[in-house]
Amino acid sequence: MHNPLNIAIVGCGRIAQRHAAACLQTEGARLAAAVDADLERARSLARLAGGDVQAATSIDELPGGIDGAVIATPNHLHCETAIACLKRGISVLIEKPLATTVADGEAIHLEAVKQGRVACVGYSQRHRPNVQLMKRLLEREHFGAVKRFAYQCGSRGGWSPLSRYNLDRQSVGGGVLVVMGTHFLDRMLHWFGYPREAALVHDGAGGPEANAFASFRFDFGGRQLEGEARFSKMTAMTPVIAMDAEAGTVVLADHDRAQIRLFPHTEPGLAVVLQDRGASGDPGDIFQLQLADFVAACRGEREPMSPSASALESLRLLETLYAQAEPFDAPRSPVQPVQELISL
Amino acid sequence: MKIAIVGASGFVGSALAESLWQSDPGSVVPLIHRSGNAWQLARHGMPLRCADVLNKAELRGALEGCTHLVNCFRAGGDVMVRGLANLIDAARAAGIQRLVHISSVAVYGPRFDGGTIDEQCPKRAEPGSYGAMKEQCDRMIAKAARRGLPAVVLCPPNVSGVNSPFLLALVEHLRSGKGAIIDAELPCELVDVQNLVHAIRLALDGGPADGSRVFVTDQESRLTWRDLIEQLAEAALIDLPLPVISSAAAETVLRASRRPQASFTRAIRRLFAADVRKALRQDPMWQSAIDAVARLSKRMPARMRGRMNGAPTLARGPSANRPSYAATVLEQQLRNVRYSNARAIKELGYRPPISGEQSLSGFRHWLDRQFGWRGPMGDLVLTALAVGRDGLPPLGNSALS
Repeated sequence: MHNPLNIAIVGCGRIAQRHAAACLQTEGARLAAAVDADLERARSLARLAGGDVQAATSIDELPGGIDGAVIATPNHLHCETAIACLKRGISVLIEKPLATTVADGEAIHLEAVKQGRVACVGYSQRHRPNVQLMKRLLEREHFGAVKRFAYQCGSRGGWSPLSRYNLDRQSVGGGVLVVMGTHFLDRMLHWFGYPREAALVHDGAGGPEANAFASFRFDFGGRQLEGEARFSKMTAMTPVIAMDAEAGTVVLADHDRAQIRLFPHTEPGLAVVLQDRGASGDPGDIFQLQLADFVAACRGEREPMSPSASALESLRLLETLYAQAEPFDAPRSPVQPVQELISL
Repeated sequence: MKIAIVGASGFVGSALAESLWQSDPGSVVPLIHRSGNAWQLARHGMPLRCADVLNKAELRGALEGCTHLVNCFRAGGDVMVRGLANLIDAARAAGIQRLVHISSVAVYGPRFDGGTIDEQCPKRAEPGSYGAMKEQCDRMIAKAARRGLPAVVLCPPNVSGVNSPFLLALVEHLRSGKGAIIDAELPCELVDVQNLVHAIRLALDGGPADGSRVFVTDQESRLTWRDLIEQLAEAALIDLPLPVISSAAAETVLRASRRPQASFTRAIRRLFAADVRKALRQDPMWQSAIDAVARLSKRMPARMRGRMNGAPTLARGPSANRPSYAATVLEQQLRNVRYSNARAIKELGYRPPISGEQSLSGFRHWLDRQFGWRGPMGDLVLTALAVGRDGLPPLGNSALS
């Protein structure tokens, strides 16, 4: 029987509340400290959590015996905060994305290796059973060759962080592609690997873009796979992916309990639902699953689901996409097949 | 001129802020409620101020240094009225030279017998409706103008244009099979958001300042609801023809969709519903009170007892095997009126830069680009949407072929 892992939450904005709830519900974790430059926010989270959670304004004030930290600060502060924790021997679970630049992401990764500590990233959606089932089905070529995919996700508004850092491109490290898109990019890399070619159009004009459309080309299973993904913070779009595979059209909506559905080309009126035999309808809270994964990784029981090394890949893709992005209103349509792609 | 926009993250507020920003970035002060809705503005790197209309001190601070004010904010309940009262106070304190308030043609009521009306037409908004609430706000503006705050009230119909929430909602109703055309040539009044922005900018510069209303619509529109719905259906790849129903059938659907009137008897019946009684019986005092009422009810005449016990009422809503049409789509069609632009043209110098045809064509082009339904992956997107909505795509859906 292990002693509980002492966890500090660094950055006490809105998302910190979900991490705090996960800490309270996860066996083997104990919420020990809440840290925020605004002491009242730290105290507020500490009060919400109850017990003997210590509030602090800086990680320098952390009590001894902290084993892990959840970094939930604005994105541009991930690097310095995570490295400061790692230097103190504290493992880190960093809210997505890993950092705002590849250089910062690499610095975090290298520091974790140097200190022999865990650094993983809060791609919480990877913990959905349906995402993991899709990964297995794709690896086994259950649907035959996958030729194309289309993904979309959009909302008119939503997510308003207390610090309002979402309105600052530098603090976010981008726009909707980071805020909304990185979850999908992470899943896409998890399922299909790194794309051979990629392109992006977005409507950012000095600030964080509100609409971003990306196109990709992969070598997947020895064949070519093309895909596109649309992200919007101005228009509601049902978050869902559809894939065109040899066996039929495969659809997975973006929520914890969604089922994978196959519509066979041979029987267009038929829908085949794929699910793990014996899986319960309720997969549980993905923040709790994520924290349990972090705790197990800190104890050396397994590799974390989203280690910093894989999150670096996602950061590299983001940086590549932004580096060669075209304006949204460019004459050619963003939905045309990818042209003048950068080989990665 | 330094122009504050309250409700700057909304559809009209964003378009206005973008237009002013492009002319002179120093002239616009966009005020937002929450950062999460302000992406359209943030993408330009525009500095944004947060202000809650219910927080008087915050509003006063936000309007400091501003000379003009445009009120585009919308809210539910009494927030719209209380917020406007605070805004008028803050405008006076800041010495605002001109206030442009965005209202709605809804203040004139939901039904007409055809023809064209002007701003002098009697107001017939139904009590408790959105139109009635907007009318209350308009009266507050008129009163403020009488007390020395130069103000004008612009009344647009449904606002169209790129990313129009009204048009997108209509498309969504059509895609989900909840849209129907009423079998009559009913006028459809719209204003493109860019035309409305043009009118707001004119109203900031001059024209009426007595708190009166000015209609702002697209120029000489001959658009009917049938035209609009069919064009949107075609743009959204929805199979034609669409369901057509009579005005009488539409009225029946609307009657059935209305919330029931408040009823004392019904309220009492709910209060004494079995589950409420069960919960109250946990307390000995309530238990004896309920037993006493039960004994008393046995002495009531049978007819009264029946009413209190409540024989089940037949639901009047559309039955499961009848199509269920969105009430808003039908209600809008039945409005059956056009609004005259004459005052806007004469007193504001309004010359709408975008025709109704250009506006719809622009929306269709944007719809194609935004959703990609006609693009190389369009079939996949449509399949995904059909599954997301219904669980299973409808048989014969072309997206699956």
